Amino acid sequence: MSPITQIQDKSHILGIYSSPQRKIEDGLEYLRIGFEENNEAILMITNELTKNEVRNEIMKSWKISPNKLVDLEKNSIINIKSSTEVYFSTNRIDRDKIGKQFSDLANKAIEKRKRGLRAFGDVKIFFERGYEKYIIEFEKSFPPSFDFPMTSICAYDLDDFEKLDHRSRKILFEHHNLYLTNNLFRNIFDDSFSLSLTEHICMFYENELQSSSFSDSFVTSLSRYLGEGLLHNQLCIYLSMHNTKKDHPKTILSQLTNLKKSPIKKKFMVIKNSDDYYINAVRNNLKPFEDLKKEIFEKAILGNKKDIRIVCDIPNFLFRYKHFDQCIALEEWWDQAIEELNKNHGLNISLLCLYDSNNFKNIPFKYHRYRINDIHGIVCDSEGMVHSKYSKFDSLTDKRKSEKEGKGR
Amino acid sequence: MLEDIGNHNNNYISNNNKKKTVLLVTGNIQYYQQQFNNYNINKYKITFVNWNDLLSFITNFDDTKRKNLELIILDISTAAKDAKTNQISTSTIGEIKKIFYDTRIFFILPFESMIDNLLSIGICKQEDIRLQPFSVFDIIDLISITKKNERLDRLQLKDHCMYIYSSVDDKVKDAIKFLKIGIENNEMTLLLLSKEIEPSYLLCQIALHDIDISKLQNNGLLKIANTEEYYLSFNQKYNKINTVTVDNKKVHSNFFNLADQVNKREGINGLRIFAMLDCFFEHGLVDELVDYECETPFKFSKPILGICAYNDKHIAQLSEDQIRKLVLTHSSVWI
Repeated sequence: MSPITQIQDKSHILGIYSSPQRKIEDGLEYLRIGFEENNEAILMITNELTKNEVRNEIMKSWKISPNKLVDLEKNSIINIKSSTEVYFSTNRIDRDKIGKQFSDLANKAIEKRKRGLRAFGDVKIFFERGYEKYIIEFEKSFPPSFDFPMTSICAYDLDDFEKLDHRSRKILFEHHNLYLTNNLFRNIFDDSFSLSLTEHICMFYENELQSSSFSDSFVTSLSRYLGEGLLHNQLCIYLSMHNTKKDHPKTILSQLTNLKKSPIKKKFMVIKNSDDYYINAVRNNLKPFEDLKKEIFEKAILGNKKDIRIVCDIPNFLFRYKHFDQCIALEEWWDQAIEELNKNHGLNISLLCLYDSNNFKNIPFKYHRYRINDIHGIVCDSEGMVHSKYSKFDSLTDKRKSEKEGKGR
Repeated sequence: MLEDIGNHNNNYISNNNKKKTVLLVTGNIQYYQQQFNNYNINKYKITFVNWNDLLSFITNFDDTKRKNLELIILDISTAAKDAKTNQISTSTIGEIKKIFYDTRIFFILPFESMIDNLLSIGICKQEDIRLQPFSVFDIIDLISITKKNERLDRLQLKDHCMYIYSSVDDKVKDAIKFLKIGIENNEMTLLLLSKEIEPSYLLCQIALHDIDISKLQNNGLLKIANTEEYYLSFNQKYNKINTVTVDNKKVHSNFFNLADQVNKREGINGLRIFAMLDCFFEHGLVDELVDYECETPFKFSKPILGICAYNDKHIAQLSEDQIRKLVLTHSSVWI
């Protein structure tokens, strides 16, 4: 099932597109589903095509006659606008005025007995005019879910999105409740995902209850994350409580098939005394982590590595044993460490924090999960599929799982 | 083949002689040995003792061994039972507790349903109990908590905390402990009470802890008041109707001014506030409460430590989104 058929009402969605053509095709398809299947009014905002070109596309693909389209436009059920007239109608970007345009159209849609407004806003114009900062400020003024009946994709070209710094991206992720790439759920393993940039990722995995080791499918994801890093000659660090098990590092290593040809000693660090890290973290002492940061820095400088991948599951165990404040303190420490190494030394760190989703089901765990989601830039499942920090992650995962099981039958 | 940074880091010497001991008393040594032998705990070694051999083990337990003993785990699920009652032999456990009076003792139970039984005997606290299956990670966690500060001791000035209570007793106990820590730290304590707690009751409870209340109050180190006085504004309209509102700016400035006054006094390091927030719920001011909390800093910029004390029954009335907002606006959360 396509993600755009599962969108919750009032969602504020971040859409990233690999090409302008793809952006328009996917944007129109998303609007078509709203118009034909969801009884929604639609709003297309772009400068990629002229209004007439958009009309032609709609008439062709949605099988609407020219007269009917005129009628629908007159009744504000189909709305086509240029990015210039929506975002730059005056000499300054007037957030309130733009917001009012959207809410007026949404209200009109309700008056016409529609479910609401479905909008697709192409924001390329901000980048073309050098207003990158303003788009971030503009996005920041909207919550992850609208408080009026509008569902909207803010459409970014991949090239433009990649120009944004870590902080700007973080703001974008915080102010949207769903992230799509070419109308599909984003995946951290996508080629376009560009994990070499600083990211603090939370990956949820589902282990068998009470199992003390990782499931096979999860080891595959883990090896994929580390394997891709090693393949790109990045420094990889593996700090797992499972390293206390004598054969675990070997098991992980055996999965990294692409390592056979290259010398790994210089680029792969397995931290075996992870119990020390855990014990000290519980006792509010993050000194071992400070020492590790120094070692990573030295190793990166010596090995001439700019890009680093770290896998860490210590916070997961802090969480499991209800050391919630210590877990958050460690996550905050990592967040600062990533930023500091990036700012002061130009190192790009992608940190993958592993969490067993079985730990999130009951109170108080489910409440503390808000804190975990909030502190990470990206939240994904064990297959790398990026989820919103605000969406009902479990229901989405369960849905996908049942779909898979259905297919398997 | 692997580079193990733990082995060449001087901070983490793994010399067997220097390892601390974790004593696991069980009737099923083989099971645990099989499980734990696959793991390395860096600075600790596990010594297994059978319940039947415990007496001779204790007899040979010299001072050096005692010095190295970090903690004891008693696998109750395999312990000998009293022939008459078929209950755990409390005398054996009592004996162990007497001999190892300065060592933390934990208990492994087979089922959750046995917890109440063990607690009723009065030989341990809830936090000392673990359930089967018991893994090596449980051992590592037990090691870590033997020297972990208690949650109220961990808090520092500038923390903004959310604590949820299921009983008035627990709330009162924490308020008193909060005050005691404040006295030790030379901080002024402001206890803001809900209607369910009479100030006289709290004062009696404080007095039981040998705390000189009058002295503290005379020195301006303790103030007890009703939460409503500090948070709510009662406005009379049309002569008779009272409207209750929350003026966020006014509440904040009251607290910040108090903190400034405290800060000017020599020898007092800051202000700690334990506020029971029931009044918001009693006056139907839930949205206002969430707004107020969201406007209160995640960490205070002034030397203030605040605990927002909630009742679990009130939290149960909130929407998921309201709970999320409350959780995210506090630097320390205890639910």
